[in-house]
Amino acid sequence: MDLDKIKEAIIELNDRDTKELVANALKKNIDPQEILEKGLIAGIKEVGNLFTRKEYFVPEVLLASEAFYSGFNMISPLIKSQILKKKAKIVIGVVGGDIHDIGKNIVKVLVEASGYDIIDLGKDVATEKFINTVAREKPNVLALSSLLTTTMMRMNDIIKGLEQRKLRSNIKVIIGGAPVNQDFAKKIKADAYGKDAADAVRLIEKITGA
Amino acid sequence: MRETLTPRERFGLLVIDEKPDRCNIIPLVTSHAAEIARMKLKKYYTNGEAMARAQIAAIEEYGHDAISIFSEVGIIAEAMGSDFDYPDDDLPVIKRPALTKKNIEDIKIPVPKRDKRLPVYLEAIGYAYQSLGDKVPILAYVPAPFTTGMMLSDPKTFLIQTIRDPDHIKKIMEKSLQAAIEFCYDIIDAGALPIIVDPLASSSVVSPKAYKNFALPYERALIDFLHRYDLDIILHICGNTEPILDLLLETGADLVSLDQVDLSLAIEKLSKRMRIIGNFDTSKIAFSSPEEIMEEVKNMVKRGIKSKKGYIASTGCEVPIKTPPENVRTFINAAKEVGWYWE
Ligand code: B12
Repeated sequence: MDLDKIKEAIIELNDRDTKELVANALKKNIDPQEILEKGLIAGIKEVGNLFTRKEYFVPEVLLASEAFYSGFNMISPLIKSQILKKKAKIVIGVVGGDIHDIGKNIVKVLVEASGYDIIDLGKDVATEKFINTVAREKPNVLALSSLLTTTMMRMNDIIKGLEQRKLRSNIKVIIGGAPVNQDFAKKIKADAYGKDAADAVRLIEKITGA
Repeated sequence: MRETLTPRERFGLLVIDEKPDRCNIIPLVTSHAAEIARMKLKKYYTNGEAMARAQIAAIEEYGHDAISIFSEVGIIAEAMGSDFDYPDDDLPVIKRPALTKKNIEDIKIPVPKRDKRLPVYLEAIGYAYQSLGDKVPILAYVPAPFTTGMMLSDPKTFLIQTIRDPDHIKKIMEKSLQAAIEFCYDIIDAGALPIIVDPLASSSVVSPKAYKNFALPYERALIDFLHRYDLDIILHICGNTEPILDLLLETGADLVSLDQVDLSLAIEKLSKRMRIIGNFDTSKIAFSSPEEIMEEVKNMVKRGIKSKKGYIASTGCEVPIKTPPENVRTFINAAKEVGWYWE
């Protein structure tokens, strides 16, 4: 079936096939929303599972995400107008002084593929920039990543800064990365900790109720 | 029990397969030394004499068995043209990778005595060698070609090219290998032992297949080159290495330093040919209580010293900068309690 083929193409990391298959599906008048959910998203979610099971590694996930976007970019203009109102707005970034962005990028791919609107501030992001972006963009969730024990306390600074600017009550803060854990999340009053990208999506779904 | 050897003698016995008095104890105290010396990080990684002074202060504080000359793995890539910022209180942060500005063909092999911060390492080695070289081995960390390659490129492009454009990756590897060799010449000349580090080759990032195709051949080439000097070479890969344990044998490394892996499994697979270094969890050394550290390090060292060709008690990767000194002391004391070979 067409949608299964799209899913397969993503799992096979093939952006050209994905694009072609999506174009064909559209020609056959298959509902874009169906293409998105049962083809593209199903594919990238499976890639996420393969990554969790250590059958796929970072390069494979990055290629799969290219394949995903090659299809997604064709259909997103079609569905924006009709059904798909983005579920919630997420701001993501790696805290200042930390350049480990591989994990953050993977979280981003899966969160975006799950239909959220995501603003990526990149790596080594200054505390002020997180806070200013929250003030400007009013996201539902702020997702912070840190892989270093030296920089993870900056998550605390960011949360404190949000409190000072009276922005904290309107936003959920989730955190992740190798040295952080549940206890640390509690300590700095983050709303939740996630251990991997699939977890990040689960958390966001739970927190935003969408 | 009594210590009878200097750290240098202890390391010397290890690499000729004789049992020293106790196992070498070398937690990877790198930039953490700047904390001990109460020095701004920026000073540590931009000034060779400062780096050496911090390292010597750490040795005086802890009495571990080697000096580690290291700040971060971008050092060769920077000398090849990647731009870095130098924050006062953080390690250098990459801003513009060389390959976003130039083609690989146009990238020059650096002159280690001249270019960017390579001289910082060389000066640090020289200074440390003057003060402690007769008693304490000096290890200088050299990023392996795969890791340098990724710091020359932006990581996403680089990782995608490992699948899409392997020939291009190989070109980057050849250049990075040349650069590493040049750097090693000067490191040896200055009085240190190169330790090859390749965090980006771990299975936390790439598949065993990618490791085998793009990282291993160049690790091996670099190690082969260094073997001409009759040196015993350490290969350090932090991150998860369990899926590539068997492949590590093919690198020809004499000592292998591991992070996220079951130590007993590593010993079983590698200790016929290699000395094992490792592998205390770096989050634990930073955050656990001294009591927990004492207990867990003892357990680790008891397993480690069963390794046939010898063992170095160490952390899986560098000791996080802000680790409480009490925790590092506890690590060392624990290893000193149980790490004896001589009765
Ligand atoms: C690759 C790597 C690097 C690369 C990074 C390249 C890049 N552009 O990202 C390079 C070589 C540059 C590097 C440099 C350094 N590194 Co490094 N690095 C690693 C390594 C081996 C793998 C990290 C990785 O990419 N994993 C793969 C990804 C997919 O996993 P992940 O990042 O954990 O992300 C997943 C989850 O954590 C989660 N997640 C991540 N973020 C978020 C956010 C949210 C909101 C949620 C819900 C979930 C979530 O989902 C992700 C996907 O499943 C780790 C080892 C390890 N144990 O992690 C060390 C490690 C992180 N590095 C370490 C260190 C010390 C350094 C250096 C300081 C070393 C040095 N002196 O040069 C520098 C730091 C430079 C800097 N200023 O940041 C230490 C940190 C120790 C500590 N506790 O502080 C580690 C843990 C190694 C170790 N065992 O000690 N490193």
